[in-house]
Amino acid sequence: MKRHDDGLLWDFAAHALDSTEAKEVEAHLADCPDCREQLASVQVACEALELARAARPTVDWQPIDESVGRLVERRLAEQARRPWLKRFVLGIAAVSTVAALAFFTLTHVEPTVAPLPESPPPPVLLTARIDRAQGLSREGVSVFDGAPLAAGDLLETTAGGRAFVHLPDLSHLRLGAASSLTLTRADVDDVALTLGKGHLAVRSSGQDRKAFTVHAGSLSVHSVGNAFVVTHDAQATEIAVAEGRVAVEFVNGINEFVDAGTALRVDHKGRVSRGRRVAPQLKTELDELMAVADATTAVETQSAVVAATGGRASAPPLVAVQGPSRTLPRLDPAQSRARQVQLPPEALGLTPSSSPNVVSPAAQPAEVQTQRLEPTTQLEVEGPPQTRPAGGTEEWALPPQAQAPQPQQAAAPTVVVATPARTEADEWASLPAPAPQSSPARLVDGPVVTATPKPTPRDLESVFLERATAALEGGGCDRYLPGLEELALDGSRGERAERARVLRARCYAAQLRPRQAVNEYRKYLEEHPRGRFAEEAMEALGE
Amino acid sequence: MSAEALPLPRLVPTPPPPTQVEARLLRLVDRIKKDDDVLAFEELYRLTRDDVARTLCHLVGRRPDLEDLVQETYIHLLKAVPSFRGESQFRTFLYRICTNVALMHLRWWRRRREELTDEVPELEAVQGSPDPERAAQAAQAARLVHRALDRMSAKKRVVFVYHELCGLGPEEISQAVGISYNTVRSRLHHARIEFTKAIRALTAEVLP
Repeated sequence: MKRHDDGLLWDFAAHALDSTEAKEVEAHLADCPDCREQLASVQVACEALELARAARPTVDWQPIDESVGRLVERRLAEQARRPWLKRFVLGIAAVSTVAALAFFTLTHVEPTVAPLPESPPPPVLLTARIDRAQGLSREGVSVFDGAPLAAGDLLETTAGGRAFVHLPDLSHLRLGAASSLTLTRADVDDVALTLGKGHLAVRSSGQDRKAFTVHAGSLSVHSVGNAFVVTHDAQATEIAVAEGRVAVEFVNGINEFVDAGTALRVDHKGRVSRGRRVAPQLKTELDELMAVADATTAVETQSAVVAATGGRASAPPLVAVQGPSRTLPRLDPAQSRARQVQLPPEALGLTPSSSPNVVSPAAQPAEVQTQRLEPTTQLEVEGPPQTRPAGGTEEWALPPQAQAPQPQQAAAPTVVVATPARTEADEWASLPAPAPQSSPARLVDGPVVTATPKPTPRDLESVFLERATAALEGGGCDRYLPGLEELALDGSRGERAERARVLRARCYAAQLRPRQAVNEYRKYLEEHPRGRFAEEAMEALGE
Repeated sequence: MSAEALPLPRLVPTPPPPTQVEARLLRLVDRIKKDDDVLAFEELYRLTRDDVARTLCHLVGRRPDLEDLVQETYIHLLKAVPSFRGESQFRTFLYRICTNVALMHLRWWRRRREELTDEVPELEAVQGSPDPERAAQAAQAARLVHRALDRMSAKKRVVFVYHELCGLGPEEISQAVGISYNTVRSRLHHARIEFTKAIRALTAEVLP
């Protein structure tokens, strides 16, 4: 060692030098007081490191264990859904259902007057397509209005472009400028979108389906019948909800809900922040989307009218379904452009004088009724409680003729809402009927459309639990697990929380996942040591 | 003060995991990759979680959100396992993920540490040592080491920790961090000098 070398001193202190080098260092140290002092410091440092290596941090493993467990469960669930055969069978079943529905609709249409002039058959909404497009390209090739889309398509807009997309499940999208979107799945009963970058406004329909998911960055947004905007760039991902409620799933499997009028932002560091207001620009985008969606639906409805009266072509099965329409919660009525979209009868290809008699209202699809009666008819009434009939009845009347408004209607400050059609399989369809009232007051005479009251949260929970129980018996309880967990974690729900926990355990047991089932039963006993199902839990745990 | 005046225990880097452990880890990885066996991942987690927590603790220091970092590491690991080609030890592969998580956290922490006032977790006793005095010494030494490491840049800290506290050689560090062998040597050299100075200053503060 001819000079001062800290590296050699570290090796010397660690006894990592061979004998020759060690002797050289020792010789140098004998003549160099600076290096001796440095060696002392190095030895102190080495001693501290030696002790520090033996220490270990205090870690609370329970949340990490649970999180990794959830991660594993999610992956297992994904694997369970993966087999192509299952997807194929489900797809066949969905197509068969749609075909049966279309056949049923056609065979029950009774035209009362001579058919209208023939027109091209209406588009069957089993594929996605572009409604409006400006500066839009697919895989680098420009696409225009009306172009069909398929799963796997990558849509990109230019800096000044935008596009409106119509999905097979009657959902609508608005892709903003400089955005890219992949239609990962675009089936009638399963929609998955991946937003690469940019803005995406969504109005998802209330169809009963497996999933409607938007992936953006590390987040997955699960939606059922609501309107929201997803913004994604390199810095952050933001979800702003205008209507309804969406579930945002983080990469670690944790779910958070975003309610109407709020926004959730996750930056690239994973920091989460919530906002209480949705930016006006996003509201504008949604309004624009709703306006286009309603207008598109009106055009489809026109085709449906022609098909129904002509009886030549099959009507779009997902549109032409009878039943009262469902009103999604809206933005401020004064701001919603969707509410201003009211097509006159001429726009539907019907003359004002003939329109009431062309097709009997009972024989028409709900959407058709909605559009034809729209100028004067209230299908769904939103208003303050005092506008409802006296006695608090939940059953409201629908006048049969648009030209005969009743005084009672005029007195009520009501709002006409153009809404997507409701299908037989609508998620609200099987909600329990309201409690029996004394005597339903009718505003007018004629066929009565019973407006299902908005269920209270507790009603929904009850229905949810019933469905989960039914699904458990049917062997398809997977999708209920997150919701049951949410219920089970809320102690204020008492018996329902208890039942939800047990249902989770039974579901896992039914799926031959004993470890998770045991875990649920253990949680049950911790949360409800004297609960109704304690005996079952103890038996499962072998206690 | 001569070298003989302070006989120190030989600073042997932590021995690499025994062949059986590494082979077991590789079998689990194989099951995850070929059969998509996520239960094997759970077992992998059980086998490696202590090592990951200790490494992260050394890399980022005592932080209140160490659990979050461990969790994040395993989320990344689950995604990354299919890309493991077996060209290095699995432990090196795992350390690479730890490095990325730790570096991201250190950058974020340095921006936010003024705003955060959470209690930092204490360090636990020495592994396998029932001697409380030695445990206290170890915890105190670890605190001192972490304070010294906090004065170092993140890049140097990573190399230094892997070499001095995790027992990786320069070759393994270059794989785990994704830098060249010479860069590892250079960073280690400068990190040692900085660490020695920091320890000297800190001990002078404690014992004026």
